[in-house]
Amino acid sequence: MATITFLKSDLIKESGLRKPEETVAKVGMEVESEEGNEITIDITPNRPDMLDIVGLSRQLAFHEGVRKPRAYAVSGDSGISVNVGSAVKKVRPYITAIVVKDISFTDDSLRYLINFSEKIGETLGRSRRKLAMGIHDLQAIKGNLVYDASHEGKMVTLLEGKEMSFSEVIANTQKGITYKGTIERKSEKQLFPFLKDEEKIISLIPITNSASTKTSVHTKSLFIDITGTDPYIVSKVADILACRFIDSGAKVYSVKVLMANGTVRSFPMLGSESVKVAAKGLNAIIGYEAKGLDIKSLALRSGYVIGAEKGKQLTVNVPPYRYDVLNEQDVYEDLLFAYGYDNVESVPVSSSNPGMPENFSEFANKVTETMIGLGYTEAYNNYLTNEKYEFELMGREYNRDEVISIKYAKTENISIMRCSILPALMHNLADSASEQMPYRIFEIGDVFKVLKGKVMENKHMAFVSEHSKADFAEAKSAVIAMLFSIGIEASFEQSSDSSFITGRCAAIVIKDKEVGIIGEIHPAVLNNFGIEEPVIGCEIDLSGLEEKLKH
Amino acid sequence: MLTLHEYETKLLSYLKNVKSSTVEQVCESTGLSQDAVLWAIENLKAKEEVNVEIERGVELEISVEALGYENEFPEQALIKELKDKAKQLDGSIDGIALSWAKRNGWVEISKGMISITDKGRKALDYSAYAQSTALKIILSKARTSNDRKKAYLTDKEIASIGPAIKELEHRKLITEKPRVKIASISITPLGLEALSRETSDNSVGRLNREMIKSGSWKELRFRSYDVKEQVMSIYPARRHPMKEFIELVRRIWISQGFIETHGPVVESSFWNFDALFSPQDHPTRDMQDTFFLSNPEMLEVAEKDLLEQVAKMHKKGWKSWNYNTSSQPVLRTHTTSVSAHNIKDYGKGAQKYPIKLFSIGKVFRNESIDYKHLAELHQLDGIIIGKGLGVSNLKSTLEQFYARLGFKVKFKPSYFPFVEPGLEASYYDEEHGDWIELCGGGIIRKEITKALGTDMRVIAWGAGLDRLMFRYIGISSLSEMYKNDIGWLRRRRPIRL
Repeated sequence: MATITFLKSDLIKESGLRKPEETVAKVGMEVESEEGNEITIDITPNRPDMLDIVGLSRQLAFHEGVRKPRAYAVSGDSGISVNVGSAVKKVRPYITAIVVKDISFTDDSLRYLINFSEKIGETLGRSRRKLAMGIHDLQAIKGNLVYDASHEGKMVTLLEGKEMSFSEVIANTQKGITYKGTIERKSEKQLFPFLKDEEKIISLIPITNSASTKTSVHTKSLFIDITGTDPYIVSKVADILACRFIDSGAKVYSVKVLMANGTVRSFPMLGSESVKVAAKGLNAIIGYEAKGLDIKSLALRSGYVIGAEKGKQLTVNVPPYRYDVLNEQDVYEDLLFAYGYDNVESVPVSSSNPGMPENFSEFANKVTETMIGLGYTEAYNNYLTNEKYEFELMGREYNRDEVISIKYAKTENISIMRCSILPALMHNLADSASEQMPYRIFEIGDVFKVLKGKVMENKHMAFVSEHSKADFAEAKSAVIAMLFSIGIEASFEQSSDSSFITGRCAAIVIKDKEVGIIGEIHPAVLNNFGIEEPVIGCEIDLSGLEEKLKH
Repeated sequence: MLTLHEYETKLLSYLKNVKSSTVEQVCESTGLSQDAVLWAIENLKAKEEVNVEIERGVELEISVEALGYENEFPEQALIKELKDKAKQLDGSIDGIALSWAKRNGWVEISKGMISITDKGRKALDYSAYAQSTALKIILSKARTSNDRKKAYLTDKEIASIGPAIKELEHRKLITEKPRVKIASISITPLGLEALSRETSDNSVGRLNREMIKSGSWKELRFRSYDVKEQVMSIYPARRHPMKEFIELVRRIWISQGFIETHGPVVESSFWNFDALFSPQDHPTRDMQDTFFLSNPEMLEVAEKDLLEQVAKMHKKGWKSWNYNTSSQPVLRTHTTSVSAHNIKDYGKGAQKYPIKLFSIGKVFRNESIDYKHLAELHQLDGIIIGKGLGVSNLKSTLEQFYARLGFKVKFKPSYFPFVEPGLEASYYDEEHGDWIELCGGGIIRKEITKALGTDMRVIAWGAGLDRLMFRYIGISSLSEMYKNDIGWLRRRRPIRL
């Protein structure tokens, strides 16, 4: 989600609502905070048009019925064209542009426009990689423009006001460092997309504009370029901008884009799809026949221009600034928002299927009951851990191929997924503040392994007991008692494991299969953890045992 | 008349024969644990049946650094080095050594050279250094205690080395905590009386097998107990609070006709993202937010048909889709991935519809962990598959569930890429004076249900459980929850709805 901040007084003026903040949630957005005259609003990614104060206000005003949707058209052709060169195709193929005249900026309205441009580049534009826009003072542009790419070039940058080569901009300026990733290509010579007029470079795209076309509060007319890698979005953002300027009283003129292959297109397109809707369709997503649905008024309150009405069917025109409305389902969502969730009745779903627990959950509960009966308190540890905790301190060998490893973790100490529960329980004993002994804890949970490229998720149970008299017999008694309570008999075979004392470690065998291990923890391991009393431990693979319980 | 507890009797019987004793001696002679002895002393003291001598002192915790200073402090090593000739003052000289040698007046610095003073020469006799003497005493005390990094010194013992202790504490070699210790315990005349009453009086303390079997109890008088007397704390084994809470939540769903399901924790990006219509270039699919794996590097998505369907949906909706991106394994970021599996598994076939399914499990976020952020969280996801389902059904389902947890919920429009329309349920939190989000949901997009092979409608929702849980157990630091400190597990608050 992206947040935008406006002066509340501006939002009130722009929307014509006395309390616009009360309508924000009804159109699917959220007021994140209000401080003094400043209001910050969360905008969901499907509505980039509402990242702008004009677009947001428009939607709020429609919802409250204080404004009627309108059709949008350009005032004429600007006479300016953009010639697209063939080199730019490899890095950033698409460009659209618009010309805006008769603008009157205030400090705040100029700031809102620039913020909008930044936000849309961040969100919809995926940090400018997929899309970015550049705002220029039209007065500073001489003649027609060329959009192309080259291996080098020179410009005076907007923020630094210094003449620099493209390579220097990338290497030395803040914007260059932040956005160079958007135009870098693997193992190929750097190509810089640029926009220039008849005299000079006006933009190194999508990094920075030139100082020569800088806008100010006195600027009366604009040239705006939108570039990117997705032709639909690049065209839609031209529409979003055109609509917002028309709504704010300025005049928009079209710009011709001449593609390298000879095709010519004019932007903004301001096309408007028409979609047929009916009360029946809205009832279908509500889930019952709602009485007195006025589809027409709901469509108006969602911002749709009403077209032909034929029987129960209504044609609505999708406004050009909507990039998320592709079919009637999308329209019904808007109509439902206009209708309001509060007006939808709650209807229970009756089903003849009975509720059912998952097999293992029930089985784990049985084991838990027994372990608690035996005096073991339940622990619950994280699944993410690291090699040191999992292997080194336990005196166990780390077999990289069998362990799930994390590519990148923000937190230190996270690098792998656990493959056994015992190490975590040992940590719990070591980290516990001094308490009445004995310490007895257990845990049932997932452990992970990689076998031949496949991920194995198994369910284990482990327990530990720490006190001065803890010994092998105690561990064995507990395992026998636990298994007895779930109807399983096990045998114990001499075994070895580097975490346990040699000769005091046994494999738990159920029907000729080794399913677990018990024993006295090796004093070297106790030293590693800083534990000062004897500890016994057990870990057993419960996967599949629940089947045995059933029979 | 009040009777004695077994521990009290044992303690008094022992004290009767010795003039006075320490706690350790009592433990050793009676075989009682230290907790039991301290408890008995506390009770008997209140009844004035024992006399307790208190000794005031301090407990000193010794740092690892200090252990290395037993034979020589760094400043002593420095003057030893300077004994025969002055040295150039450069980076090779240990900062700690230099600052203490200067402070002690053992060295002087002039023109970039450091040399030993007369005072310093006297200090070459290491036994003359107060800090060194004090540390030796502390370490020898520590060797006789249970923990070699802790020493107990009485106020009397401290008095002679007080200033040096302050200096050691200042340089963080030790930390000091005042401690009151029981120096000795002895029996009082009242105690003797109580003991003899216990052994001679024909009124009975503890009932035993002999009395019950023989019927001799009929002749006996049972002494009254002081029911207000303090008793020892004992702790039952308990469930972990998060597991207890999950148990509670799953029971609510099962009781409302839902089938419980589980799904993989390690998922392909296909199931975690693609199947849910999350565009492949979406920011949450970045390593900054999601845990990707270096082993295994790929997870195959078995069914070819399914893969094709989902690829088609992406190419139509987002204009791009790539197999390699789809096969990257991740730690699931939501349990909605389990719902995706469920739509595929239960959306078609011999089921009776509507069918209700839910799943509760761990989800993972690549966070910098602190007291407010965890990398492992818990989520609940539910779906109902059937014909003609709508938001009215979703509203009712969520209202019923949250009512069981004590919440009255409100709904507002919201957006998630996999539903249309989308909604968000929240409740009014009196404490914060604000609406707090509980759950997101909606009708699963037609594109998704179609790709996953069902022509039924699916309503779905997902909710985080952790914040909810913390509300019930009342803790402020999230990390506390998974430290599994034994004392905390024993004494944590019950979950109150």
